[in-house]
Amino acid sequence: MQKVGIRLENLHKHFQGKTAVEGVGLEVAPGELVSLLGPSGCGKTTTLRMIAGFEQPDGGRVYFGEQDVTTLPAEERRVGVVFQSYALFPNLSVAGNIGFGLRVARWSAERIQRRVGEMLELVGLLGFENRPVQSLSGGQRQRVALARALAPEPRVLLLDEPLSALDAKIRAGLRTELRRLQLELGITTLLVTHDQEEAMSMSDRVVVMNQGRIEQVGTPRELYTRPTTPFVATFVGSMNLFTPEKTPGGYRISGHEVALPVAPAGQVGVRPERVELNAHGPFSGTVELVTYLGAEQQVLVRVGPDLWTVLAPNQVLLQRGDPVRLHVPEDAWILV
Amino acid sequence: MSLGLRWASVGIALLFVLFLLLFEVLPGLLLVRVFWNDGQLSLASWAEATRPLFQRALRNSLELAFISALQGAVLGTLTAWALWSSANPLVKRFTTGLSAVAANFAGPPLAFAFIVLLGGNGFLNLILKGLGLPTVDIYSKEGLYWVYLYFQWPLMTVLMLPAFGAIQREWLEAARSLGSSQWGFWWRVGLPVLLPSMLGSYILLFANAFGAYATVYALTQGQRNLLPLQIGFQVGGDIGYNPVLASTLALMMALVLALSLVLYRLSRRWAARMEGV
Amino acid sequence: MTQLLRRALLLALGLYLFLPILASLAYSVATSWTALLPEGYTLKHWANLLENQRFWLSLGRTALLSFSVVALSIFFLVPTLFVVRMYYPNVAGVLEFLTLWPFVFPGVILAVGLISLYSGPPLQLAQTPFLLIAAVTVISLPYAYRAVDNAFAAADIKTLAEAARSLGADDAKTLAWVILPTVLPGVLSGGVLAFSAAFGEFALTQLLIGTLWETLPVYQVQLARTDGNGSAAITVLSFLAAWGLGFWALSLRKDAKVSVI
Ligand SMILES: Nc1ncnc2c1ncn2[C@@H]1O[C@H](COP(=O)(O)OP(=O)(O)O)[C@@H](O)[C@H]1O
Ligand SMILES: [Mg+2]
Repeated sequence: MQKVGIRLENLHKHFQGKTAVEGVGLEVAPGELVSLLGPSGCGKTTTLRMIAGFEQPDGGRVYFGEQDVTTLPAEERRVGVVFQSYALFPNLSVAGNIGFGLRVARWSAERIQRRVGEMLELVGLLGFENRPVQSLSGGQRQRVALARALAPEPRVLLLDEPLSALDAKIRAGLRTELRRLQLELGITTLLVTHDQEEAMSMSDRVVVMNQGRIEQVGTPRELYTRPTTPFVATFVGSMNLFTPEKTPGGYRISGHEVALPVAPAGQVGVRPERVELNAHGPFSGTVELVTYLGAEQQVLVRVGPDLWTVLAPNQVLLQRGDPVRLHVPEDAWILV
Repeated sequence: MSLGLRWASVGIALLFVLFLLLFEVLPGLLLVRVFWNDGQLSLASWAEATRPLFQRALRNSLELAFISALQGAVLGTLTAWALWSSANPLVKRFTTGLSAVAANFAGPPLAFAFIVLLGGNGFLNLILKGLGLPTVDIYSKEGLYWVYLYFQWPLMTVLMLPAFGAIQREWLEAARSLGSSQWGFWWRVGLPVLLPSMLGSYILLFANAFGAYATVYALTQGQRNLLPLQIGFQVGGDIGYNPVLASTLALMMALVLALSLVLYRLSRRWAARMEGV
Repeated sequence: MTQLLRRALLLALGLYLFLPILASLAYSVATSWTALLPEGYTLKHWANLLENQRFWLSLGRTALLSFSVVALSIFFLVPTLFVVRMYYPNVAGVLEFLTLWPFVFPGVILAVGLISLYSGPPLQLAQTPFLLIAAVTVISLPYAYRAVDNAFAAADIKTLAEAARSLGADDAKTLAWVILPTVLPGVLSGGVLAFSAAFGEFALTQLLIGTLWETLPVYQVQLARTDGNGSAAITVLSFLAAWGLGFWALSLRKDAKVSVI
């Protein structure tokens, strides 16, 4: 299979005067899995649909490798697309669905049958070829949809919220399986999702989008440890975010003086798991709510005007109204 | 619990059932009395009703219903597709409403409107004549098709809209990403999915034309050998009053319609299975 | 290409549906019409029609018939569907079946059955308006039934009633304050549809009672023999009534669905 990357240059799309995508530029390396992550309505699907050729951009260009495909019709792009709603053809059996693209490409019946068999094995559905798609569970349907998209050996794979319609358990299983398959085939893949856990666990790199624009691009680790905007800081994982006040000796956060390693330009944050319960900590507050999470507990602490989220070990017994003191190691502060 | 409310409603419901028995069910069921003569089974009236004249009436009615339903089905399906693929919600709503209303419009006003349009001195015929084109004779067999199309076309449109609604846009997109053209998609997926609904709707159109009386009566003053008109003659026409013959012919007609109903229900079940994704 | 086909289809349908009315409208105000356009325009035919007592009488009978049908339909349907939905959901199938009946026994057949059943004792109703009202109610039942039943189904009156009762309302209050207001638009829409069907009814009227009790469509057929322009005016009126009622009924519901079977 020839491996090609995807390059987007300054993509724009409006709907009836409303901006859906604004100046999206992105490069996906051959064989890489990149996620588009963002809240509902931020333009992820529109971006994916412009890559697939279902939507014509108002401005900008789309390249597959060196080929400019911006005006190429969808049926000539050789992309595999998987939809949230599965979009299986209800009049065709499992094999009929998987073989659809091959029949369109006029493969011989014998080759189609062999290829369909390979695909069924790949997605773990051997023996299902003659089943009507109505008889399948959601997870099985999405496997068929994936097999159908992969059967004609597409140049890139586009997945639009492929797991969002599934139960939590099945979703987790299919997540790893999808990633394993993608690595095995080495196919360039763009995954659209609003689920940050999904994006973080499956991707080589994640693109965070907000209101039609790209906020930040990075590996999952980079996004978590070095978010560059307040939006990314709060959207990827959870974050206690503050606007520090400048004082003669340093900065004031939640009514307490703190020393910061660098001068902040905007806001300052700290991840809940980096906040320590420490009798000598500078922040004094009161416990408002304790939520037991199994491995640990989440504690909401009122410190001056702010409500802090703290992840604490279970051994510490806390209840509402307890006075606590909080400590933040200097290297735990994140400036955004 | 104010029992009064419940039992008053039950009382009215029972009255309703009695009403339906008296004015709906019995008049239909008791048509079969024609097969009893002096307490004996008799097929005399059936022999009378299958005379060549009435055979021709049945054949004419079937032909009219078949063809007019076919015309409506083809145009209506295409129009439903046009509405499905239209991006303009205003056009969609207006056309849907218009079709829903026009589908139920028939009878003398419709017939006379078409006479004004396509009668001997009809406005459209004058235009056609002026252009040197052949004119339409509204009183001919083909003329009737033009009139029936007025309600058959919008009826099919309205009936097919829900079926098209079951066709997800993602199916078309999935097909295109797999290399198929739009036509290829409709041929391999769209048409097979729509087929049960098309069949069911066609049957409704068929029955609609088969049982229609008012429009054709007004158009031709009853001068056409069609089953409903023949039945009308036997109970109220100038030729005479023959309730037994009328009942037998009515039974013949009901038989065709009952068969249509069974086929319609079967096609609905088939459609439900097809669309159940 | 598809864009062109789409536009052409919708335009053709629009023309087809509007042209006959427009032609009738023009004909009803034309002095004489033998060339491409009418020679002149006049309100004479309308004036004649509106001065004609027979027209007003037939219109009055049509209105009486339609209102009676609506009243009867609502009187029967609302309490019946209420108890069926609320207490006896398993008999819903029987009702459904009864509303399918007119499909197999349309106007002409029903007329034959009614005439042979009610021409003699014990119930000599033939050739009376009462039999006509009953028959037209039966024929227009599928329309009214669909609309009212959909309203009850959408309202989920059982849950509504339980909620109201849990808040302390008794049955009469539940019905008056919760259930009736919720189903009212659907009932109204069903009533309008039944009215429209009764207004244009011809087959049953002509066969059951004919010119003894002339309604508007029957009168139009008579009038058309002598006065084409006056008949065209009635056509315009009937169109306006049907379209006005139809769009009114549709506007009472959120979805623009037509009721067939
Ligand atoms: N076909 C369309 N017509 C009008 N607006 C659209 C259309 N598709 C998307 N939009 C709008 O564009 C914005 C982005 O949509 P989308 O790309 O679907 O977001 P996401 O997939 O991130 O949830 C939304 O505000 C949406 O309402
Ligand atoms: Mg989306």
